[in-house]
Amino acid sequence: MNAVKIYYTMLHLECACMWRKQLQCLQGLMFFCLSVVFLPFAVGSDLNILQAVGPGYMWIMAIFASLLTADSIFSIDNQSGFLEKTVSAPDCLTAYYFAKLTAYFIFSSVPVILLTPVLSLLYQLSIFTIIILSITLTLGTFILNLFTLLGSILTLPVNQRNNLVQLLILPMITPVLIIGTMASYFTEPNQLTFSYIYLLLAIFLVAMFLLPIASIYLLRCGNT
Amino acid sequence: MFILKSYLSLAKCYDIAHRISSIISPAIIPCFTLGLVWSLFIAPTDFQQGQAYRIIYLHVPSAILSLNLYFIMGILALGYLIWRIKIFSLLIQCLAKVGIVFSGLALVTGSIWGKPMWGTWWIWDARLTSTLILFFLYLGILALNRSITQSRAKDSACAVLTLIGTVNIPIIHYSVVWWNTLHQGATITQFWAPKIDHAMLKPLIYMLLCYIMYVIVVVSNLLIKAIAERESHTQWLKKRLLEDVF
Repeated sequence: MNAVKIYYTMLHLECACMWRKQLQCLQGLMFFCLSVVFLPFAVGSDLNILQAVGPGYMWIMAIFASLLTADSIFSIDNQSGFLEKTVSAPDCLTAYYFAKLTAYFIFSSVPVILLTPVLSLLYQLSIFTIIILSITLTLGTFILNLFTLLGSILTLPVNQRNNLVQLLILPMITPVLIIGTMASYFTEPNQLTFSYIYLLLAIFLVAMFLLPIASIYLLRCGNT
Repeated sequence: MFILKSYLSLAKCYDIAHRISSIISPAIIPCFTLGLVWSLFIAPTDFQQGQAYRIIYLHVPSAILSLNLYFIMGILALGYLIWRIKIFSLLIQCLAKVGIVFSGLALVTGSIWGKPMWGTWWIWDARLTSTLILFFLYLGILALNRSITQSRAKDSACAVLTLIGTVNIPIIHYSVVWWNTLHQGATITQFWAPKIDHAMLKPLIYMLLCYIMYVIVVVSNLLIKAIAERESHTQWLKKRLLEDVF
């Protein structure tokens, strides 16, 4: 079998597994919804404040929602021995990694991204802000998922369940957060907005190049 | 390369660290005393900031070192991942312990300095923020290092994390600079035309050297402990420890 075929098989498998664990996938989504709804209770229902804080707050909560289920990505495969088999099988590992990445993106981030425009209406954000927010969140959560997978591989040998992934990942993704939120603070089309999106795209390309290499390297020879 | 290799074994490094520590340790206290007297009493008073500026002699070296130690760790991590030299990974964990202390010290002395100068303990300014993030990066490495028990997995996980952090630090720094800037610009790094007076610069460089000396001593002591923990089952260590006792 060639690599692409293995990738599709693996992706099918991962999606089936994720579909079985619906509640776990919904966990992040519910967290995101609730935290967005709860912000006005804390800072008051003044629309000026909500519009000023809203995009950045939604970014942070999307990041937390995506990190919520991070430490279970590889641990089940590790316990069942599936990961070990994949590592020892010839040229399976890369396909496995990318299948995991895609499945995790589809099931943990895509629902959040799809719900963002709806929830933005609660803060009465402008149409342009909503569009930009959706675009930057799509790119941003994908970069975040690359980091999350790395973090979950790094913490595989850790015995007890803990929240180490958040500590490892959050400082690393500061640039993504900064650039992503800067882009989404404009209320109307602006030259600067697009330059921020291009910057985010640049970070995406660099991360897409480096992080899979590091993650696959660690899976192959470090941890299991 | 072959000769170098013999110096990279844990047993050899154990001896070297012992020797470095025994040579430099006695000099630390006199050197620091001299540096403190020079910087706190002899160096001229700043005409704008008065006596309060003298905290730079503690603040600037720790800030410089906290960043540079991370880059050294990054190089060591690359070396570990390429050649699998154990001593590099032990050095990474020792340097991380010193680095977190220095970044914490830079933050604390910085806010003590900021109170009389800017009027607040904390400003969301680029340098402060990136030092804070650096502190969390160190914290992440140490936490990961502490929570993995199996030594081989620990080494490669920490090395990969350090390397990714090293690639990331410039990106973090420039994004934070873009985000906000209020801090005074670099004064020493503008090498050809330093804005700081020579009478103030000399004790600063002297203090930096003292700090580097301190790092060397502390790292070699930590390294001795780390090697002893890692190699506790081996014969050579038992022999070495017996030699020390008798």
